[in-house]
Amino acid sequence: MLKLAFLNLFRRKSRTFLAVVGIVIGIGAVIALNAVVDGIYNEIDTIIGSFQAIMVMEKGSMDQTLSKLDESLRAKIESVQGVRVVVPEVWILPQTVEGRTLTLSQSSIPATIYGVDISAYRKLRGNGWVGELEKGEMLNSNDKYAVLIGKSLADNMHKFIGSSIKINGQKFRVKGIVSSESELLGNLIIMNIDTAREIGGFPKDKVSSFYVEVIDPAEDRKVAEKINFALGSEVEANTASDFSKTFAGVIKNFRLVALAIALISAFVAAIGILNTMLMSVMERYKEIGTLKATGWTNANIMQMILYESTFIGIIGGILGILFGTALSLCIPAFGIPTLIKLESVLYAFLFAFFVGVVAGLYPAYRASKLDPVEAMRGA
Amino acid sequence: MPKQSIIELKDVVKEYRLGKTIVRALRGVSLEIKRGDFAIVVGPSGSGKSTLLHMMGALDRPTSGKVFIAGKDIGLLDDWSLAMLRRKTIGFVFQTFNLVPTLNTLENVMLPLEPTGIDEIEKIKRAKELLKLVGLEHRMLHKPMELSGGERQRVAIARALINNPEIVLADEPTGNLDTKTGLQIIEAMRKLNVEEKKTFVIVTHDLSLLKYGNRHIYIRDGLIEKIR
Ligand SMILES: Nc1ncnc2c1ncn2[C@@H]1O[C@H](COP(=O)(O)OP(=O)(O)O)[C@@H](O)[C@H]1O
Ligand SMILES: [Mg+2]
Repeated sequence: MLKLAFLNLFRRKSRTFLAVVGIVIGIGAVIALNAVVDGIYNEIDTIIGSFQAIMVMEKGSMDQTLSKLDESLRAKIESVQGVRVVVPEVWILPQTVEGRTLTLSQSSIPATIYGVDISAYRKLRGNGWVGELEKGEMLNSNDKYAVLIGKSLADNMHKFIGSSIKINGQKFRVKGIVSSESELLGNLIIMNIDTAREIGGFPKDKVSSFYVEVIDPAEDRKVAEKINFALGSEVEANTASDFSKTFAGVIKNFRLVALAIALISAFVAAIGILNTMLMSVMERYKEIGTLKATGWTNANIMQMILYESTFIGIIGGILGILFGTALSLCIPAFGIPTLIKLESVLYAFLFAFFVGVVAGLYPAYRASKLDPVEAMRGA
Repeated sequence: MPKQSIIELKDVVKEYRLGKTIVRALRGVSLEIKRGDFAIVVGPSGSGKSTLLHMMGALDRPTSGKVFIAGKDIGLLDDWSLAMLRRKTIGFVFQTFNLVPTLNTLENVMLPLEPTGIDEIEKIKRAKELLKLVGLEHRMLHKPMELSGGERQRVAIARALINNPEIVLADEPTGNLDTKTGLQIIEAMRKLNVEEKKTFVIVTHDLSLLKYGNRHIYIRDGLIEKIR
């Protein structure tokens, strides 16, 4: 029966092909969309995961570049039990780099100035936001116009150790190149906090945020609560896991959009299969009548038609997965990270299978209910 | 010992509704077909021959009256039981052959067995035997398109026999064939009747076929005219 159903698909190749294309486009789009959502999620999760610390920011600010705190809070945070090091930092989006205005459209990941209190930074056990020093040397507190730059930025702008780089009109010397697990930190420009304030027009007694390393990383949540309690309502201390949660919430919305698109395309694909199968059944009235005359039951007929529509779903699903995978492999060329998860592929396949079955139900029912006498007279 | 009847119709009326008008295709037909008969049903076009054959083949239920096939009252059977009755007891042969164009001869013959649990090797063995019986063993892998009309009808006969039914019903089996080929088909069926002990009911409007039958049923306007 399976073989027969399979052969039946090839009787009207172009029509079967159209039904398959419907599924391929739907499944392909779903795979690619999911790959983008998973890719972005993965990218940002890596960054969040790479800091084992507490971020202290102004309450309600979306990210560090929008946050502003008094530097005097540093002493208060340092006095909280369990805190090991407090690093004041300034995050600024540069107006120009090498005389060019960097806008969001030029690069999907904008260059960001990260001004850090070097003497505090040097006390950290980990690398903080700076990442691994790949080439050159670490900054000293007295390195006024020297910077460390992220690897992607260095590659894009052809900068080496000793090169000069102009930021907001000020010339800097590249002292080191840093690499990070995450692409998004690859465009950092790291400098002394005072220099950053100076070229960024940032008030002298303010910081964007504090990077807080705790004595026992397992206690980070507790320490964050203590900081929140000690500093009161204008300040917010978050741990890596807090960020993960917030971010997961945002990503969930993207997933919903992807799901909606999946449902719409499934609907369109299902209509395609339904139409194909109805036409196919109509064309085969006489044949179906003959099968009934030779002792096929209604259920047998139903089974055959369902197999046919399910085959369309399966073939479309497999080709759609290939198509979606190919798309997902091309998308990073446009600066958007993608990640194809095995589970999305499995779900997509099951989905295509399911659409094939559901779309076949009505045509199969119609075929099974055919009156064999009518069916044969009609021909 | 008198022959047992295998099909029995009692006062069978069959009406079709065509919009508001009712067409009475059979208007009270009673007849018996006995085991081993080679019955020929003749009558002009529109006289109700096909309808009668469909009743005898459990393809449809009568509007009133009773139809017994192998002792079963088909008016009392549900769709599934009718299908099972057709599968086990009846083989159909049609005027237009009704073969599946994408399947080869062997596959077409095996088609009725497709939903059964019989294993593939057994199916092929049976189909090959039947194709030999109808003289088509050299055409097993050909598609219907590559066969002549007579060959196609032989494939259809082999298909009708694959379930080893007691009864073979043929609706104008020679209608699409030239006279000579038509006679060959009737002779092939006659041979199966004698050698395989199958009961045949053949519907035709070709009076020249009458001489092959042991029973002649004349039908006109949905009524039996005479039976010989
Ligand atoms: N399914 C049907 N619907 C309506 N009328 C039918 C149907 N089947 C047969 N008839 C009518 O019943 C009469 C007998 O038909 P049929 O049994 O096919 O005759 P025959 O086979 O002798 O030509 C015809 O008038 C035909 O139009
Ligand atoms: Mg007829």
